[in-house]
Amino acid sequence: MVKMPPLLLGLTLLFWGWEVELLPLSAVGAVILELPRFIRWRWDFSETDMNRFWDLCYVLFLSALAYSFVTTDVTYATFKFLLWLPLIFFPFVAATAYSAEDCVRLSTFSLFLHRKGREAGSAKPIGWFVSYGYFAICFIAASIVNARDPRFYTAVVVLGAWLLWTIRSRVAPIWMWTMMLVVVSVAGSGGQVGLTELQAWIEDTASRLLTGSDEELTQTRTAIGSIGQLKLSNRIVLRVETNSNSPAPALLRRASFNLYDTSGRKATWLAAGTQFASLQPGPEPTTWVLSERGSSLAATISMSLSRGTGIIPVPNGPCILEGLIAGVVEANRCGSVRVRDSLPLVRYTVKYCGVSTLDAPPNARDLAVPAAEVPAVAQITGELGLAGQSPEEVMRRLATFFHGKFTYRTHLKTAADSSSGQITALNRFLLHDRAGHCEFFATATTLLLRQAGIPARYATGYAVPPKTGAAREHLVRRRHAHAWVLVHVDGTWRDFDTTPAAWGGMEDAEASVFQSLGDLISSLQYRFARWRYYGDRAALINALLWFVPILMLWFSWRLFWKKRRVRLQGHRQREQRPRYAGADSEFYLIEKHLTQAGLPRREGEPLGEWLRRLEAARRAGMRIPSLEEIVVLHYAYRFDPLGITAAQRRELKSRAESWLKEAAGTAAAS
Amino acid sequence: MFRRFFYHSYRRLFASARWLGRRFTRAGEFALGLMMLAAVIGADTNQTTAYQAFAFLAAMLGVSALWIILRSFGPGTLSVQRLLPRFGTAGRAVTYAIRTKNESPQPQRGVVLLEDLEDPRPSWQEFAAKPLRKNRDAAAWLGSLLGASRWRDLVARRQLAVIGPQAVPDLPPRGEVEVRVEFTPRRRGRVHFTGMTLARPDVFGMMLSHRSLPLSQSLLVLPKRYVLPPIAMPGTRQYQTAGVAQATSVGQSDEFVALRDYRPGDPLRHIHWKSVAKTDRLIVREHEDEFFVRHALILDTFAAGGDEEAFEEAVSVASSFVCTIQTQESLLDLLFVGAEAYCFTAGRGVGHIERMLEILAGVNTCVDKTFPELESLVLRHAPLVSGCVCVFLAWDEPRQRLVRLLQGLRVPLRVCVVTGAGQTGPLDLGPMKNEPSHFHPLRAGNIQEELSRW
Repeated sequence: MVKMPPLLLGLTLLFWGWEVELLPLSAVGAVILELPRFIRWRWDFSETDMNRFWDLCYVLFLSALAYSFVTTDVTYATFKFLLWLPLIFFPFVAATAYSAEDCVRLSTFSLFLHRKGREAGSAKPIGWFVSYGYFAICFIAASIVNARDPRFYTAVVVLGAWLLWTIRSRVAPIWMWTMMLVVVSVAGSGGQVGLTELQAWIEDTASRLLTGSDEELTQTRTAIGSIGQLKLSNRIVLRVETNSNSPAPALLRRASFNLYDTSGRKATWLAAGTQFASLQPGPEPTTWVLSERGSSLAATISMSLSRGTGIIPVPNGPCILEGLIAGVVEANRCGSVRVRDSLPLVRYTVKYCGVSTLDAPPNARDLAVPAAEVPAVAQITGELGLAGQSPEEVMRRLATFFHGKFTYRTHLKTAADSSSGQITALNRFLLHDRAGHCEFFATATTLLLRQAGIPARYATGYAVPPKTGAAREHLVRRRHAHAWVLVHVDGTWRDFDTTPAAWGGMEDAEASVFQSLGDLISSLQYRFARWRYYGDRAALINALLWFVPILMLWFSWRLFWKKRRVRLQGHRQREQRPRYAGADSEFYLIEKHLTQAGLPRREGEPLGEWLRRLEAARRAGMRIPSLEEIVVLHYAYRFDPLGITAAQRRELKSRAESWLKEAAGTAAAS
Repeated sequence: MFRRFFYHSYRRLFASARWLGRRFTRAGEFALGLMMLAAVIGADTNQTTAYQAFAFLAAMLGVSALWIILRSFGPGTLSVQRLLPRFGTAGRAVTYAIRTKNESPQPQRGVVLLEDLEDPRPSWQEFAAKPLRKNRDAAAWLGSLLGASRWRDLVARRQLAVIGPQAVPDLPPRGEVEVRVEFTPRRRGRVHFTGMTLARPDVFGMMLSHRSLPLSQSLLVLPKRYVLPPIAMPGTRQYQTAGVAQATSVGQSDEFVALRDYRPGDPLRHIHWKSVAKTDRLIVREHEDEFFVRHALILDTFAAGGDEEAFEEAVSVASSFVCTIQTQESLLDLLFVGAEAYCFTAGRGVGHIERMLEILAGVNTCVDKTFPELESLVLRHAPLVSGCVCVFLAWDEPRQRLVRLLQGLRVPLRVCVVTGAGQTGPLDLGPMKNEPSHFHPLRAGNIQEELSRW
């Protein structure tokens, strides 16, 4: 690769500064990078010094990465971090620019190879790579700004063209090169438009594929109908804190469903109308008002969210979400709340009133009982005499029925013979087994309520267990995932849970012996994440502000403890003075001309032999004016500079000039 | 199974890297890398504008690719002749010339010559057979376990030379230029040039269009030699059973004791032409018994644990002896075991030193035979030789036994033991304790320094 063209690196840095709005700083940097072209002194940096410069950048990089990691409050932290790369690597690039020689080696870039490089001592110098790499870094960093205007592409084309000009090949004339560059610019411009449209199309298609038709039907597949042990892990998924005035909510809902589908192997609950609507933040950017209804209860919930997007569980009747850092908060008519662009650890205080605030009013679907379940459901309804009773009485009788005659069990022994159409899993549960897990109880209760003419829905989420020991929080584990019923009473939806109260104790009894250890690790992770995302960052910044000057002082002391500045040895004078007698002979212009014409003098070839070759070429038809007299004068000037007279010197010059003119005329004519 | 997977992965990776290196210029590789980086950073077009840089670079490389497809070399545009020397030496720069002639009426600019060398990728058998390298640090151990170091070693062993692209000056119509190429062979052996690729960059100088020319040649790279101090070779003249039948008629070999009639099978050069002229019968000379100095150079090819480095140094030491021992008045036998037991003789005009160096350039470690084969070969030759120089790769019991046997036959000895760079501490003299000055432990990587202490 050729050396970076003048001013290109400085301009690229300026462009980055313009994009990130640090123009003055980048202007200083650009001057520092370009100044070596105009000054004659350099620093005598050894390979070890360059290693130290790189180590400094490495430390800065890691520090910035660590800082970005612990303080970031955006989802795409990595990309945002890339923004500062030109600043981080500036010391090394500047050191390369001011170094007296190109002593950057591959081994410099690896701590491991530092030692090996010293041992081998034969690592290839790759000084060219530094400036080109920095050029790329500046562009990538500038792209992170994501300014949606033509500036970036214009800079890509202009600075790219400048670089391409310096390395262009001579196989095509300049007009062709220019034309091709225009083609590339236009194609690139079209390409970027195409890329954005492609992404939009992919997102649109994926969204349609995932969400289905216009009326969104979200489903939850139950374990009703499957055989074997239903086993969920002990992993802590939620931490619920309450103050002393407010009891912890018993249930935290994620979603509710109103259509029961028994057509598949496993029964499925479906929800219609799950489209989410965005909420506007309240007076505080972290406060989101779900309902204007007054709230008397509050709970603070913490949970992990992959990529900061997902459903957050809330108690029935959420009114206000406080302290929730998120780009978007949405809610739907099934009582689900979804956040987007939030932190990986979501922590929010939900104020709630205990009666529904988000759910849609009841409709015909909330009273539907699938035909396959009707016989069993009708039989139980008849046995319990639910018809014509008030909702409160129906709920009381159902609670008594399930608590008294059913047991909680996570193991389903036999499969329902659904293929014969004789008996379903729910039928078996209601009429024969009278044992099952929460999905059975919730589904059966929902259908019995509907049979009794009371609108009901199936809800899923988590049951909040009581605090254990001296814990400050209620720890909700995966195995506390629960299903219950939403029943419409007195014009609102209320939670109604008929699963026997013993279920929590049975689940806890099956906890792993390693649960304590798992809890400890989980707790540590949670504390760190909480400090990382919600902790006191000012203290960290103060610590870093102390650390950086100490680091810089230490580095400066290591680097400059002895005087290392050297002056390049009189380059200008050396260039003005001929390196040897006769070095300014005009004959060399002729040699250059012939080299360009494809008749170069070979390395070490005597002039006489070259002349003979030229003579052969002339005989072959090439028009080359005679050189013999010029060569004689050149030899005299070259090897006996004191013996040649001023007239002979002038003659050499004039003959050479006329030869060049003649040769140029011949070339033009041919 | 994993080894085979790694082997095929390395093979493909190597081929891809080679293809990239030959198809793209340095600038092109940089642009390609930048394009891939921009693709990663700009994968989500809503998050960054890196996708715009990606679009520009992709368009540029697309135009470059189209250019090299549409404007490739026509057949017979250029003719190339490679002028190779006869030999090169490992570690020493070799210079040769490539004569390029433009056969077309148009000038040719920007032509680049790419040498096609033999594929250095090892076969699966070689890869599977090579033992794991013993490593001290964890990273190297992991590399060794994955086979990366094994692959690197094998490729380095097979890749005798790396020759970069050679830019050709502009060629006028029907013009000819000569390009001088210099490269340094990494090790001894034969560098096979399988062909030559003519390349020319596209309009942006990113990619190269190719045309391959069949230009198969090879160059023998002789082993590296060390400067040996003047050596007084041990031993006295010995009776040579074959007389001078194998030597030329120089020096004492002119002496003969009688004339007799020609018998079928007599060498023609023994015919005494003066007597033939007088008697009109074929008369031959009968020579007296020949006594002259004959040395044996024993090269140990049984590298313990596949220590290639020590073996290479041993070959270099043997080559140094070959070049140093005066062979005008004596014979030198090179004894080693390869595919079979070999004995090559040079000196007194029988063979040339160059020939012996050629043999040493091709010698390999022996894996399917054992040291006793060398022992029996040496003992067969022992009665003929005046002295022996042994170049061993270890100083264990079988080698010490051979030394004791030769001492028993009163063959004067000089023993060099070449060990790996990791060898620490002095070696026990063993049977050489009576002649410590003729026992030379040599550590790989430090050979010249230790040789100069003789």
